[in-house]
Amino acid sequence: MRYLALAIGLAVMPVAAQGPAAKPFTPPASTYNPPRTPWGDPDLMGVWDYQSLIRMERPKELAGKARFANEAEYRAWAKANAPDREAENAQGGVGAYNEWWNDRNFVVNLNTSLIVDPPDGRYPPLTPAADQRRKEILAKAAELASWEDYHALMRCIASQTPNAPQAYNSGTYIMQSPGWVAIIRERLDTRLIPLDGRPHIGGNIRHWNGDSVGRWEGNTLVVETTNFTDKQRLGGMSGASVPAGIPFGNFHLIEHFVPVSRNRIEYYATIIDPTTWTRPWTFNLPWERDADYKIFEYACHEGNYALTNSLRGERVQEAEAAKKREAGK
Amino acid sequence: MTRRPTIAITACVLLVACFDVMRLAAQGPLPQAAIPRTADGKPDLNGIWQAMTTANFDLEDHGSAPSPVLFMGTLGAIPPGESVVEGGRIPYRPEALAKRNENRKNAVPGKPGRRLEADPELNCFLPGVPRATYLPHPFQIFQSPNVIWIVYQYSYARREIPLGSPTEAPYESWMGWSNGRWEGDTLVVDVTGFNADTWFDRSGNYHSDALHVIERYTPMSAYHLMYEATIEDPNVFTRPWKISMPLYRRIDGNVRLLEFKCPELVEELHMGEYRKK
Repeated sequence: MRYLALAIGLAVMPVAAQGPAAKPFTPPASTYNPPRTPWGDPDLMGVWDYQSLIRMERPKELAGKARFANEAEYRAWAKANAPDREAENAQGGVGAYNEWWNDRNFVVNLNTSLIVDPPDGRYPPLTPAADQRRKEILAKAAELASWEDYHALMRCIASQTPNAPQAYNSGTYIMQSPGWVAIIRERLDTRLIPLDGRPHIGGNIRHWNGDSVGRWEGNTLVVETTNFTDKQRLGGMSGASVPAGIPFGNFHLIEHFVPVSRNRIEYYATIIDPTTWTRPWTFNLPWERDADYKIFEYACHEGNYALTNSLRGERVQEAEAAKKREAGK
Repeated sequence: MTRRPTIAITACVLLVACFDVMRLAAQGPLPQAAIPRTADGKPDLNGIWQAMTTANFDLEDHGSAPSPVLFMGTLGAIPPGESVVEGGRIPYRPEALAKRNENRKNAVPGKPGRRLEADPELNCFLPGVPRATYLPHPFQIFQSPNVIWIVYQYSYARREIPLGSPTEAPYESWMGWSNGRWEGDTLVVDVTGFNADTWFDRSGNYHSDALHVIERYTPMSAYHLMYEATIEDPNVFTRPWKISMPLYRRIDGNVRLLEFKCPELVEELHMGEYRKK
């Protein structure tokens, strides 16, 4: 199955950059005071998850309504919008792995979109140059000429940063030591974040997850990330949450981890990339503690025969098509 | 403040005495005050560590050898090293030794494709334990009273090591299932639940899925740990055997683990033949 079919085709319309650059969003602080580590940092250690029924962009039918009035209203909406494992499974056929396999534990979220800035809950417009690049990337990717036309996740390289909703294996362990925070995602990525005020790594070193440095502002963990590779394609963030083909380059990412209770962190990610987006934008994804979630080894590349077989299949189809054309002459 | 230098100077007046201090350090833990400790009184293992041996080329003693890839010349040549195995030799069962020698011949096939007869490191597969420790990459230890995580620079290798009641491996895996405990100042990690797909080095030394590894991390100073791993696998070896080597704290400026996402580095090797011409 082609990856492109998995990505949802959200329209991102280019317009000329307008007015002065919008300021990056500042998340609201919390009065919650978390327990401390033995060395005095806020203690966020343990497994967290962030399955989300709320999509990046606000659905059209909820335009103008930034929040549900209360949890009951969210639950009613969630009930009508949750994927139906039974119905999908009853359709029969083999297919790719579908909702039946996903172990869902959606975190309650009263926001009607993950994007909280711009306030309309929609992606800001792409720059004209980025939109042109996006078209080129999509056209190139459709060829499936090599592994480079597949998402980094299908290549078992990275789930990518920032963390966005994903269908499965989204358990994430926060581990801390004096001067460090580790964000250990079950699926592939481990981010090691120094808190001692050191500079970023050298400019020639580019990471799929970027290079992060962090600091505590009160009880909020603030992480700034640069040194991203410009090889990311087909949506920078965990597939379907970001429209296909957005050419994420070496953007500047600011994340705020705001603990609001023992079991909940409000996670904010602000993307600043003036070559791609006409203004900074921020999404807010709630994380919930999941004491029952046990992180297991995610040996992805070790069993990744899908990518080789997919490319091989493409080449076989091309050869057969060429043979047919030859026979038709 | 003045006591430590005085002791060091006194101890090192004679070269012989200096060696005695080093030998002592290698044999047993230092006086408790010399080891950094966490708030709960355990040795503080937090930090970035790296082995400095040629064990990843061959656990046993080996002379220098030419590059397995002709065109790499001296860049790919194999550096010499003494055995890190107690007693020098790995106690293979006879038929298992034959398999090791076969592995050794196939370690670098010299052909494209995803070749499972090759050294798993060549294919960027997870390295297993203890090999993760002496790959030519640093690793970082994160320590809390209840759990230790070790994150390796190589690929996405990492391990969760709970220090509570031991649990059983739910399923086999490349890096195994770790249970940790403190024995005095030594962190002891019992590792089971391995698959049979990793090797111990580039020379074909291997194991079955009956592998059981007991690791011991003992602080020698603020900058050194002694690492020991006892290896049991009755399918392959006639008796348990042990390797040991010091681990060095990396103190270079701005040192940190960088991305070595090697799945990307073997794509041309594994799939090049299916690239659109």
